[in-house]
Formats: sequence, C-alpha cells, structure tokens
Amino acid sequence: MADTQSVTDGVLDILEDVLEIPRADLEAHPTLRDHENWDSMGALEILSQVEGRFGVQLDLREFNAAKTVDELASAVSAGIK
Amino acid sequence: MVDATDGFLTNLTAAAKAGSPLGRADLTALAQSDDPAAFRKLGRTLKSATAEATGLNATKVGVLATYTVGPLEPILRASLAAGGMLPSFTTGDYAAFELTLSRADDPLFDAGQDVLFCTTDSSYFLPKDWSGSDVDALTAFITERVQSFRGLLADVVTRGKTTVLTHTVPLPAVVRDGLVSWSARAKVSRCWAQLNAAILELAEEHSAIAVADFVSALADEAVAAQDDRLLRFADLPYTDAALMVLAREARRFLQAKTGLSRKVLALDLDNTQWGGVLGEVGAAGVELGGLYPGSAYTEFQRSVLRLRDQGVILALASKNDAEHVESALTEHPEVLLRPEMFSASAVNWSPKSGNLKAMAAQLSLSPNSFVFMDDSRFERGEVTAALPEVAVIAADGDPAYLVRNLLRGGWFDTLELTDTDRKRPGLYKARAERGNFAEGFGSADDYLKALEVVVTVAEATPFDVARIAQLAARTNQFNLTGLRFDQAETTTMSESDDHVVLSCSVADRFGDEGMVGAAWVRKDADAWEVLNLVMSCRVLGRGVEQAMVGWLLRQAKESGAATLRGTFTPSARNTVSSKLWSQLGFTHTGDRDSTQVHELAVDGAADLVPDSIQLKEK
Repeated sequence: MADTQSVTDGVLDILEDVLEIPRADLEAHPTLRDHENWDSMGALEILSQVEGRFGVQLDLREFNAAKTVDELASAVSAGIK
Repeated sequence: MVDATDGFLTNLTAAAKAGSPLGRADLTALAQSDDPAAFRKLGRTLKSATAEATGLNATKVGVLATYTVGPLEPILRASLAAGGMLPSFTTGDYAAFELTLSRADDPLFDAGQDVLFCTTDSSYFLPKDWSGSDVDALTAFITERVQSFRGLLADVVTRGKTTVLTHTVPLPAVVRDGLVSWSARAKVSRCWAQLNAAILELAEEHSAIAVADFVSALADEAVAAQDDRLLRFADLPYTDAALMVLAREARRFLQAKTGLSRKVLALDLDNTQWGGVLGEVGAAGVELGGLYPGSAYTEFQRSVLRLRDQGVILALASKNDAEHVESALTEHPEVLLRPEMFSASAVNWSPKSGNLKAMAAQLSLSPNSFVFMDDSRFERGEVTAALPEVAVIAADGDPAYLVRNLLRGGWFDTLELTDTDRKRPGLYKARAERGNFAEGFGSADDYLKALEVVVTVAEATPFDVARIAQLAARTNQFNLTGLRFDQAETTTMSESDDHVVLSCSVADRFGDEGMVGAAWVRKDADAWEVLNLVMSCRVLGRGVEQAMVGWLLRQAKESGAATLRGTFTPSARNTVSSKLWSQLGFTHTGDRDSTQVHELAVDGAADLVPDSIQLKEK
C-alpha cells in the first residue's frame, strides 16, 4: 500500500529535477502546463522517471490526463496498487 | 578520498552549472553508470556549458535521425562527456532524412564536423502496411530500402568531407510475430539479417563509414529496445535504456577518432589476475585455471592477452614482494600473463598512484593514457585521488564479470583506417572452428591425427593438487569409481611412495584445454591399482583416457609390477566410462561389492597410447 504523501514527495522531486522549477513554485502553481518548462518531451521524461522510481507502468492516456501535481501523484498511486 | 566517485552526478551537475572543470574521476564513474535519468539530467545541464569551462574537448557532431531526436540529444551529450568530449550538435530535420542526405551543402556535412551520426529505426526500412500472405513483396521492399540507404551514405562520404557513424537496426516484434507461418517468419528474419549485414558492409567498403552493431549490443544488455507507448505517441522508437547503448557506441567511436582512447592497461595482481592473495596462500594456492572461479581468472587473462595482441601495453601494479611475484608468474602452470608480457612493472609496497606515474614516465606516456584495474576500493580511491585522469575499473565482486568490466567501456578502441586493416578477419572461437575442421575428414582417426592432440601426463605437483581435487569433486560422468579424493588426501598420496597421482592436460592445434584429467593409483609390489580416474567430458572422444592408462602401463612396466588393475563402480551417471577397461583389453576378473575389478598382465601387454596422440611426459 503506497503512502500518498511519499508518492507526492517523490513525484515533486522528479518534477523539480526535470522541469528545473523550485518545489515551492510547483506547490504554489500545481497546474503543470502553466509552467513554461513543461513540454511533451519533458513530460515523457517525467513518465519514464516516475515509472522507474515507483516500479509502475502507467496508461499513457491517464498520465496525459493528469493536469496537476496531485492528479499525477494519484495516477501513480493507482498504478502502485 | 575512497568515496570520491560516489556522488558523481551531484559533483558533475554542480560543476557544469558553476562553469568549472568536471572531475575526471566523476566522468569515469559516469561512463560506468547505466542510469538514463542521470545522463538526461547532466546532458541538459551541459547544454549551456562550454568546453573551456568544463575542461572537455570540443566536439562537433551532426545528428540525422529517421525518428524524433528528443531524448537522444541529452543522453548523447552526457555520454560523450563521460569520454572527455563536449559536443555541439547540428541536428537535421527528421522528416526530411533522405532529402537532407542528398543535399551536399547542408550544414550537417561541414568539414569541421567530427562525425555525422546517422541513426535509423525500422520504420525507415519497412512499408507502412504490408501483407502477411505476400512476404516476397515485403522482403523486396526491405531490400530496396537498404540499397537506397547504402547509396545515400556512400554518396555522402564520396563527397569527401564527412565521417559517418551509423548502426544496425533491430527487427520489431510486430513484424516478426505478425507472421503466423514459421517459414515466412524465417524468411523475413533472414531478409532483416541481410539488411543489417548490408549496413555493416558499409564499414568494409568505405573507410569514412563506421557501423556500430546496435542489435548485438542490445541483445547483450538485455534492455527493451522499444516502448510501444512512446513510439505511438511521440515517434520515439527506442527506449532511454536503448539510447544509452547507442550513445555508448557513439562515445567509443568518437573517443577513438579524436585520439582519446587509452593505450596502457595497468593491472593489479591478487584477486584481479587470480583469486586469493599470493602472500597468504602461496603460488600453489591461488585460484587460476580449472573450473569456476579459477576459470574466470583464466578467461580474464586470455582477454588481456588478446588486448595485448592488438597493441595495448600492459603494466603490472601490485603490492607484493617482487621476487615472490616474479617466480609465481614464471612458474605457475596456468598463468598466461608471464612477466615478459608486461612492458612496465611496479611490484612493491609504495602507493600505486606513484607507481603508475613512474611507469608512465618509463613508457614516455601520460597517465591519461592509462586504464587501471584493481579489486581494492582503497587502491582505486588512492589512484583516483592522486591521478584523476587515469580511468579506473573495479575488479571486485564476482570474478565472472572481470572480462565484461574490462571490455565494456571500450577504453582501448581504435579506428582502423586502411582497407587492409578493415578486412582483417574476425577472431573466431576455437571450438566453432574445430567443428568446421572436422567436416573435411573421412574418418575420425584422420581427424584426430590432423588435430595434433598433445596430451601431457605428469605426476601431480603442489600446483596441480587444488585443480585435481576440483576435478574429483565436479566430474560425474567420466568418473570410474566415484571416489572423490579431496585436496588433503590427494596431497598425501602424491607425496607418498606407495601411491601415484597423475594429472593430464590436453592441447590441440586450436588451443589449450588445460588440465582435464586425473588418476589416483595405489602401487603394491605386484600390482598397480587405479583407485579412480576422472576426466572432463569436454575432451571425450580424443583418446585422452586411453593415453592416461597408456602412461600408467608404461610406468607400471618400468617399476616391475606384474598387473595393472582397473576398477569401475557403476553409478546413475557414469555409463559413458563403463567400457573403458574392456576396450583397452583388460579382463573382468571379479567384483568387490558393486565395484568391478579388471586386470591386465603388464608383461607382454601392447602399448596403449593411441597413434593419433602425442604423449608428453614430464
């Protein structure tokens, strides 16, 4: 059973790293596409890192549908179960 | 100091951001990492870095792909950095692959370009749709596409200014498994193998084209080539892990092309070239030769020797007593890397970094042309801290990985630029050749004679005892009585007057099999009795066992014994050896419980050593 907070933390780590956006900014503006650094290639890198870190395989449709940090984290949590 | 390389990614990223030189040891650690996330991250950070600030060599790389370049660029940038290069990329438009190749004035072909990396995926060679019931149409299409690809690349290099690097391409499962008929599938796979052969052939035909065998490298790394989601969503035919493999090939090529390859391999001795510590177990006690783990060290020595044959200079860096090492390297029968193979040698108790530096001076080379391999984390750390420009390879862990760890980085790659060099036939395995060789002979006897089998039989020396005990413990099929004499018993027998322990080694024109057989014999006044005889099944069918008994017969005759007695205890697995005595003319004279006793009168017995074998006695 995945701990929601630790998944969110892990996802934030990856977003911070790939998008090069400080965590505080991501928390203040959680809608991913609002960030200038967000693009489709970055998104795919996030996908592969998230899958590697949590050992999950996501349905790309669900991944693409996640608009915010929390939605992304819950897509990952769903995958962990 | 010892942990200098553990935080390599943090160190490298920080240095790249700060515009300061990247640590050499961190770069070596990066070269040995398989983490795509690390490569992507560093690759992104290095995008705005300069060669001057980072201390890397500026390299110009053109990239032309049949697919979305996307993640290839950062991964390739980090991979080249691991080899000491900072690339600036000129990227062609992927939607115009062929058009770009045919446009002579495209910036991709500028003379200043170090290489044009021409990377393709299966989509280039396959029709959009194809019929499973007409594979001839499919194979015709593939064949035509590869010819056109070959023509385009040949034109590029014929124009004269560009060096091209390309690669073989994996056949996607959708094609292979999309064919339900085995015969059609084989046909398409053959066509695909020919496609890759035709791509590889470019390297033989044009000195300015290099081809990486991506397909083999992928198979060896066992990484998924394709992520179906990424392919459908973003036209990314290769996973990050596959791109890492491709980028490593590109790094190796560019290192060789830009003169960054290494020339010297400096090797530790204990637990690197053999198992165990010479000073503790003595020369006879080190693990080398025989079965695992000794075999792993033998294979490592063989690989090192193969590098030496290709011009790599060997240096010995060992903390040991010099005389002890000299005599062990000279006398140990299984050592392949003899003292004279090392162009420089430092066997003493001083720090290894100083020794490497001294040897570099002796060879008139810089330490940056050295690769250093050692099992000790401490020694590696010491060398890294003092001489960060030395590429350091770990030799600890399971010795089975020694060869892979040595070769995987491709540190010694060179380009062979003359056509003669390029056509040098590849090295092939002795066993495979042995098979082909056998086809040309009318009878097994002719074959055996031409094989030039040399069997060396000798009384066991202290060097042999460990290997003999290992043979006794591991041999199940050609094991006459199942008596497994251990190292202590074997030593006692070999040192006593009323026993003889013999060891048997085999070589033929294709190579040396090493020690493959042993026998334990009790010498009574009137009779010699073979308590057990074991032989590795690797050499079955060459008359080796017969030569061993032949040697015993000669010895028994010389000592005046009247009878040579053989024993056989049947087990579930040793039927292969059940007929030995009767085939050699021994008479089954009785049984002791389940053990058969076979005897041969020594006097008047014909010599048993087969004609096809040259028997050497030591």
